Formats: sequence, structure tokens, C-alpha cells
Amino acid sequence: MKTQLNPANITDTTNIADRSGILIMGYGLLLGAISLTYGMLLIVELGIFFDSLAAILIMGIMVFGINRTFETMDTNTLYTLIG
Amino acid sequence: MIKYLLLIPVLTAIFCTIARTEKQIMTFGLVGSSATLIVGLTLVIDVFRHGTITSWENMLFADAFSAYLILITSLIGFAISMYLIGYMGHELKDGATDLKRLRIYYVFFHLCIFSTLLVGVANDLGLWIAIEMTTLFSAPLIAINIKKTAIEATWKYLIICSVGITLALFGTILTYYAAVQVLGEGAGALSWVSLIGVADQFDPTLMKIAFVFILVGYGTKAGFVPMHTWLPDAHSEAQSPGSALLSGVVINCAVYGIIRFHTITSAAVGKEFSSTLLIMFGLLSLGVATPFILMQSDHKRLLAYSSVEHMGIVALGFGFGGVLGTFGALLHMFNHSVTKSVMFFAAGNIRQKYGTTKIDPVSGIVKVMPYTGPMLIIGGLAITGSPPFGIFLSELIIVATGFMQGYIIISTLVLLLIIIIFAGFFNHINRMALSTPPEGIAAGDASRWSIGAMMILVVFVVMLGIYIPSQFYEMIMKVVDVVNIVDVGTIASVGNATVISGM
Repeated sequence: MKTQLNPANITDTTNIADRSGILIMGYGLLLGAISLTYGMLLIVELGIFFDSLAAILIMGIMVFGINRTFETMDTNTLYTLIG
Repeated sequence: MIKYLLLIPVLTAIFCTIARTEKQIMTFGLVGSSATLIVGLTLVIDVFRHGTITSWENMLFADAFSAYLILITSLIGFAISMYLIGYMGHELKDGATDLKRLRIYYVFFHLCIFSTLLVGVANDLGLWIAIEMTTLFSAPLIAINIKKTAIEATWKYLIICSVGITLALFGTILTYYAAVQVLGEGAGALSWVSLIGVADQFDPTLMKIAFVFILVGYGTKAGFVPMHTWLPDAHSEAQSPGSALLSGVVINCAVYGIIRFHTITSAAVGKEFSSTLLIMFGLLSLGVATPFILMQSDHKRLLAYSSVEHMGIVALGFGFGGVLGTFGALLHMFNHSVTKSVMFFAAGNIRQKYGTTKIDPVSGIVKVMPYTGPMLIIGGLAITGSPPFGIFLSELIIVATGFMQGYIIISTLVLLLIIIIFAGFFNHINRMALSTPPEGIAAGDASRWSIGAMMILVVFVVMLGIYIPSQFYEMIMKVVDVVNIVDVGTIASVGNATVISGM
């Protein structure tokens, strides 16, 4: 079972682009929220951070799943479900 | 009461993690869902008798609309739990799943029920967190099916929905910004009741931008075209109980979120703006889903595209507005949930019998499966909107409102598309259900649990077309008042609504 990272995989992983895009969007929005409203309620901000963290963690687990079933981490291979 | 409602699914999930055998897990699951249903119904009755209930210093809150969502969630959740026993029993016998995966499935199923209930009772900003949680907790239900297509569907689901929900967060932040300018800092700017009370003083431009972000963001989760691309993949690649959960329960949460903000935006900038957007997205969803339904070769994708179509119809109903349009849309949400769950249950039985989700190799279901077959035909007739089933009634109400409100061209288009979908969809069902079965398929139906779960829901499918109980009618009318609060002109009285705290 190929689960260890090999350098060739890292260079063509669009999944890293996918995930970092989501992180950047999320944190950008939080910065926007802080500058607009001087911050929301603490519990809400904690919730938002926790959700982002959980999302990224689950995506990380999914990348392992992709690596195991497709033997690559390149998400460009995920184009079979059409129509 | 709200706390117990949220506690039960979490406890069930914990019990499922410590259960030792398959039988224990299934028993815990069924008992947990029954308890959720009972507590859910008690809460619903409470809300309709006594009005809004709040808990946890206003962080949790249940009014008529929340109660309606809780009713749908707990009913469908209970039916799925029953169905799971039959479905997973078969999978275990086949060796397609094992104890470890069964446990993961049950745990995430109940966590997903928890998050959908949380959507109902969360106050304002908490709503976003809850909807994001539904995405995260339902993703493992698709990925558990270790196949290349399932992994692909899960990845698309996670990425597209996370981006969508991030956009919705921006809309929520803008709404909060608009509220802070009027209400000042603090918890007051977080509750629906106080937001609605002062919504007419919000900055209109800000609210317009906010609503667009909310509609695109939560619309991604609700499967509005053109953000629907993940939906057919995820809903068809999940195992049937998961598909039923996604189509019957989770999808309603997103619509709920949109309609909450639709109410606030209507108060701030007038009804036209958000109604027009809803009608636009609704018509687009209906129009784009049609060719995919006609040309479909996979019966679970067929049902998934049908979900896109029906969410379009719900959006149209809310867009046409008025008492009648909103009533139709709310009734349609309920009807769609029950009918689509029956259809996905039938699809699961068919997959287990024929070993495929393609339409072509499947035929003669009525002869092979004496219970699933007729229920598939009833569900197929109902989901395409033929009388005398529930969906016919709600579609009729929505289209009639469209004509009454003067949207002649749009309503005609909707009628035309519904007729085309009826022909295309029922053609597929017809081919699968009738004619002679292929060689080598032994007659015999799914287990009693699966059939029982389907029968419970079929009762609602048939009944709501012929007769709506007066309590159910009054319940929906109360929800209509919550949604159309601007029309009713009771903004002032909402602020003083009877609030029972500490429950």
C-alpha cells in the first residue's frame, strides 16, 4: 500500500492548491469581519475557527483516501463523474 | 427541551462507538432515532402551543419555522434508522461492509442528524457553523464506500461546499455589520427576533450585497444551478441511507438558511429584490435539471437531479411569495423529503438485488420485488407531480400562485418543464419497474425493516395529496407567518412574543 509521500506527488498536487485556497478565503473573511465589526461574539469566532480546522483535517484524511485509491494525490484525475 | 433534543443524537453516536457487535450498534441507532423523534415531536407541539422557545442565553432558539425543520429531520431520520437495519444487514451478509465501517457510518449518521437539528435551533450566526457542520459530518457517509467514484464525489462535495459556505459566511458578516450599526455591539445583534424587529432600518445596499452572498453560498448547499455540480455526484455515490439523508434532510437546511435571510432582506430593501433572485435561480435549476433527467442512464443520479429540480420549485414558491406561495413551498419541502427518501430507499433495494445503479440492466422490479416495486411506482408518480399525491398538490399551489401574482411567462415555463420531466422521469421508472426481469434474478424482497421504513413514508406521500390534517395545516400557516412577517405587519408584536426561557 503506497501511503508514504513521495516528492513527485507533492509537485503535482492540485489538492494542496484546493485546500490552501479554502484556508486563505476563510481567514481573509475573518480578518474582514474583524475590521468591519470589531470582532463578533467570542463563541461564534471560536466556532468558525473550529469549523475551518475540522474541514481542513477531514480534507487531509480525504487526501490519504485519494492517494490510496488512485495512487496519486493529483486531484486532476478526479474527472470521471459527468452527466 | 432544546438541549435534550441536541444531546440525544450525540449520546447515540457515543454509544455507537462503544458498542461491541453489529446488532448492538443497530439497536442503539434505532433507539436513539426513536428518542430523537419523540423529543422532536414534543418540542414541535410545545412551540406550536406556546410560541417561541429560547435556551442557553439566546444562543439556541426555536420558533415555528425551526420546529417545522425539526419535524422533517426527526421523521426522516427515524425512517432512515429503520431502513439502515435492513440495508446494512444485507451489506454485512454480503461482506460489503464490516463492523468498523458500520460503526463509523452510524456515528457520523447521528452526528449529521445532530448538526441538522442544530441548524434548526441555532440563532443567526450560529446557523453558519451548523450548516458547515452538516457538510463535514455527511462527507464520511459518502467516502465510506471505498470506490474511486465515491472518493471523487466526496472531494468535490467538500471543496465546492466549503467554498460556497465561506461565501455565505461573508454574507452573514455583512448582515451582522448592518445590525451592529443599528443595535450596537453585543448578543442582541445575533438573534433572529431582534434582527427582524429592526431590519427596516438596515442599510439597503449592504443588505442587497449580503443577500447575494447568502444566496450563492447556501445555494451551493441547496443545489441551485449553476452551483449544483457536486450534488448529483455526492447524492448518487453515497449509499442509499446516506443519499436519503442528504436529499431529504440536509438539503432543506440550506433552504432554511436562505429563507431566514430572505425575510430580513425583504424587510430591509423590499420584497422585489430577493424574490426576483429566488425566482431566477429556481427557474434556472428547473430548466438545467430537465435535460439531465431525460438523458440519464443511472437511476440514483436521476433521483439526484430530481432533487435539483425540486429545490428549484421550492425556491420558486418562496419567490412568488404571498401566503399561498409560501404555504406551497413549505408543503413542498415536506413532500419532497418524504417522497425522495422513499425513492432512495427503493433505489437501495434495487442496487442490492440487481447489483447495479444503471437503468438499462434493471427491469421487472414489480415481478421480482412485490413490495418495493409498487412503492417505486407510487414514489415515481408522486415525485413527478401526478395526482393524487402530495407533491401534485404543492406544485399546483406554487404554479397557481405564480399565475395569480402575474408571472405568466415564468409559470407557463414551469408547467412545461414539469410536464417534460414527468414524461422523461416516468419513462425511466416504467422501464425499470415493468416488463420481464432479466435471467438469474431470484424473486424476493428486501428485509422487513427496509419495507417497513418505506411504508411509513408512503403513508405520508399518499395522505398529504388527499387530506391535510388540520393541525398540520395550522402548523404550516404559523410558519408562513414567520416567513412573511413583513407582509403580515406584525414586526412590533414579534418583539414581545411569548418567550419561554430555561426550557
